Amino acid sequence: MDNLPYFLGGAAITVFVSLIAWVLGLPLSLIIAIARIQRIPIVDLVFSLYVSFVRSLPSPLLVMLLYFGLPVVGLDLNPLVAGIIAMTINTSAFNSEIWRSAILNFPSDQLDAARSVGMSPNQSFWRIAFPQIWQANISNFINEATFLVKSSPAVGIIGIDDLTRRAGKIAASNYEPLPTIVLGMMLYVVVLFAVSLASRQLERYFHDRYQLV
Amino acid sequence: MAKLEQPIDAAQPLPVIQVVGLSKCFGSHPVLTDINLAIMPSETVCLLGPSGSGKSTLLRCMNWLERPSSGEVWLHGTQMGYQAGRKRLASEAELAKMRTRIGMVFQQFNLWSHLTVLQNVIEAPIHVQKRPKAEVVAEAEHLLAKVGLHNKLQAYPSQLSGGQKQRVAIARALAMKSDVILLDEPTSSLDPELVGEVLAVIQDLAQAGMTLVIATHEMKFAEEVASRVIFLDQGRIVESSDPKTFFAQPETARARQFLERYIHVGAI
Ligand SMILES: Nc1ncnc2c1ncn2[C@@H]1O[C@H](COP(=O)(O)OP(=O)(O)O)[C@@H](O)[C@H]1O
Ligand SMILES: [Mg+2]
Repeated sequence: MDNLPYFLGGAAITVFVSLIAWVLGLPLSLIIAIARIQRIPIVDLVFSLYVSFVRSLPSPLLVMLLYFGLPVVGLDLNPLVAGIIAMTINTSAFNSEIWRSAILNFPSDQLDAARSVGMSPNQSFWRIAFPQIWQANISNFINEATFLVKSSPAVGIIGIDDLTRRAGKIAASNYEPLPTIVLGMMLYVVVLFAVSLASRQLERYFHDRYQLV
Repeated sequence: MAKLEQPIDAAQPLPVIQVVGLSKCFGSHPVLTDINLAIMPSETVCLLGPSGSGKSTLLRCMNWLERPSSGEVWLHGTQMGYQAGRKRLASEAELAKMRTRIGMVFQQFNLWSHLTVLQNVIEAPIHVQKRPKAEVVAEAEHLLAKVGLHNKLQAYPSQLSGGQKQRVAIARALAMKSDVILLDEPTSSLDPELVGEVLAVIQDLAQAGMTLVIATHEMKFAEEVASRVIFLDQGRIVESSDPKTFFAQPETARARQFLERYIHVGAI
């Protein structure tokens, strides 16, 4: 198993790409959701097309579209940046739907109370609705992170040496494809297990703390 | 069209709230029609009427949670919803500022569930009124003690009974030090055994001289505590009189019918 460090490096790249995309995708998806809820005329249409388009596109195609497409409009990106942007766009489309339905379903009576004490619409969103929506949906967002990890091998297509790509390379060279692939799989399982563990801990923390139902 | 001046009766003190010719429609459905009333300082006005008569809508029009279709609401000489001295609608921010002068207590309590009891009470004084935190916290603790919740400061709303929640909501409204508090059926969603504790708190406020407008179905409470009773039916003010007169000799057949139901139900 002299390849283990090489594998772990791949896992690190997978985690890095997914984590950055998740962190960037959260605020982006919130902006998309808010813009759509406010029905800002053209913006709303653009974002609703964006969401349906991205959601229906296989991740590898989105990665290639950005990597090979953006230079056409004069934006030359290195593969890692292009890959992270593609994964961010990917996850933002899914998360924006989570935000949107959570915001639309937020109890209006709590917002009435916020308005009645003189909060501006901005204040009532950020101080009253947002913290509750965030806490109530943290497990949905983390669930989305597991999808992100699983679709991240798409970045291998433009040469980013993530876990899947490294496993493939070794399997092709050491004539022992099965153990290699099993090792790769196990590393994915470890990563995803850590993610879901974090999710359960956070959920429990918020539940105990606020006794939310 | 909004007028620029409040129709003031020079012989009277300035009302805390004056509603002039107010109507409200939802779509084509008229819910309030030509409402005129003045709430004087330290009055306790009980708003009575069958459910659907427009009590909640009237209260919500007073602080512009609902925008009136026509008519005016004056708050101590400034017109709700309009820029000072002008016919132009106020911005959301200006409207928010005006609302700090009117407290509101809701039927369903409407506490913020991610904040503790204490945080619910200090939230607006600190973040809306920008008052110093230490002072606000001290006041809030005092208010919560007054409504009997000194040992629940760190509890979350989900850990409280309905009666406790409503007392927190009352403390939250009081903490704003507003000119008047509107209470929309404050005891209607409480279990019967919890109604008393909330009514007692409201009665204390009335006796302390707080200006209150209370929509309620608690007839006995209205009779004892109200300085004036306004009876609403199908979106119109049908009677406005002192409680003794209203409960002993209602002028209109509508009010008599309404009161009879409560006698039969035994709610008095
Ligand atoms: N947001 C709304 N949209 C449409 N109709 C409403 C709305 N709010 C209240 N109404 C209608 O207005 C009438 C008066 O309601 P409300 O003010 O709640 O009466 P009350 O508080 O006296 O029971 C009812 O017929 C109700 O259905
Ligand atoms: Mg009502």
